[in-house]
Amino acid sequence: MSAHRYREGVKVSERHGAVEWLTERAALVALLPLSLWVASSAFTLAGADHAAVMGWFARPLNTGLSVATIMILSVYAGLAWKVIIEDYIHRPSSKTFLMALSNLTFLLLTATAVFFIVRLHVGSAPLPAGFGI
Amino acid sequence: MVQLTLPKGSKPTTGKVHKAPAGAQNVKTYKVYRYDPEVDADPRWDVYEVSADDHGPMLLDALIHIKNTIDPTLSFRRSCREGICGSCSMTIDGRNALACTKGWDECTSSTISVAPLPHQPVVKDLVTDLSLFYAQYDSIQPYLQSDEPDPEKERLQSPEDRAKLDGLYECILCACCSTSCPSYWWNQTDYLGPAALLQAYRWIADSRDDATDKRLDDLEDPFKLYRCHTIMNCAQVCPKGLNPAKAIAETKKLMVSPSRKKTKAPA
Repeated sequence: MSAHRYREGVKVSERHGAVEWLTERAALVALLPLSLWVASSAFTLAGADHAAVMGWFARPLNTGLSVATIMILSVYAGLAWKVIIEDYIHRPSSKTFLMALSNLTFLLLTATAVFFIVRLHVGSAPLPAGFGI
Repeated sequence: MVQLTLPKGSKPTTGKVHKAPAGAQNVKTYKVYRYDPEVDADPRWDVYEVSADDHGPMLLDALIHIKNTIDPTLSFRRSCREGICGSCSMTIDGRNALACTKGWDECTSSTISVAPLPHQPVVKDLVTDLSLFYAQYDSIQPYLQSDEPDPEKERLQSPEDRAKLDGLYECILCACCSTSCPSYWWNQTDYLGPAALLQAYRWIADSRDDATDKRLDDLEDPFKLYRCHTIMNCAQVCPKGLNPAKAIAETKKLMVSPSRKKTKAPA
């Protein structure tokens, strides 16, 4: 059973979708230069020692761009998964569950990545005291 | 959930083989989908061996020849036989096309398969139920809506504005595009499909029409419009050489245009 409204067999417009479409396009456009920056950074840091990597993360521009890349990539991937789930999962309960799972996964991954990037930026140990490492 | 097994009645079995008469020249083999849901448990592939010398150059000629001389129970739609009415759309040699404009010599397979349009309910053999397809076309209100009073004569349009309708108005509603679209296969009750969206844009692009904002509002929906993933099967199979995917892309651009004014949602 679908939760959508229909008139004479045809779905009634939900009157949204354009913002999601624009967000997806804007995220993709932003990811193009950011991907080049990530690739060039990875090339620069290849073979670098621990101190050099910490020094690279200590620069605010690198931290800012890293966080921006992670967040925009997460938004883009989250929207992509949303489309895949909407395309293929038709049972409303399954769809709601998988959407929540997808959103939660991307939220946790993003929060974790940002957490460690910020800790690298401030020069802390990877994990806070008491977490074993 | 995703269907991992085929529903009942979707796996054709092997049917009858109608051999060509001894001594027949230039014989072509057609594998034709046969199914009467009211009688048959499963569909079947019947095979017809036909001498191409006995009929005209198009696949529709071969089908008419089969019906007239070999098997009168074969059902298919046809009318104009010149690519205008859109009645004889079907899947020929694995691709949606009009039987009347597809030459049998264009088919490369040794056995030419002829099947009904994909993912549509079969009424009988090659005849599908296109009720939803027509309801979707009807829903986009395919007629001029103008705020101007009716003129004495025709509504004038500049040659430039008229040229914007080229590539849009020629659609014959054969359903080749919509039924070739995987997104339409999975979500055809919610996604309008390439044909209806091409026609929606045909009226959005018309300089004489004043209902553009309302038309855009009626299309703005995660499924009705945004299920188009630019797969491009529609443009590949259109027998009139149209590009519905481009019309859909133009509609998506207009959706986020600063000049668009949202109208009030109906109750």
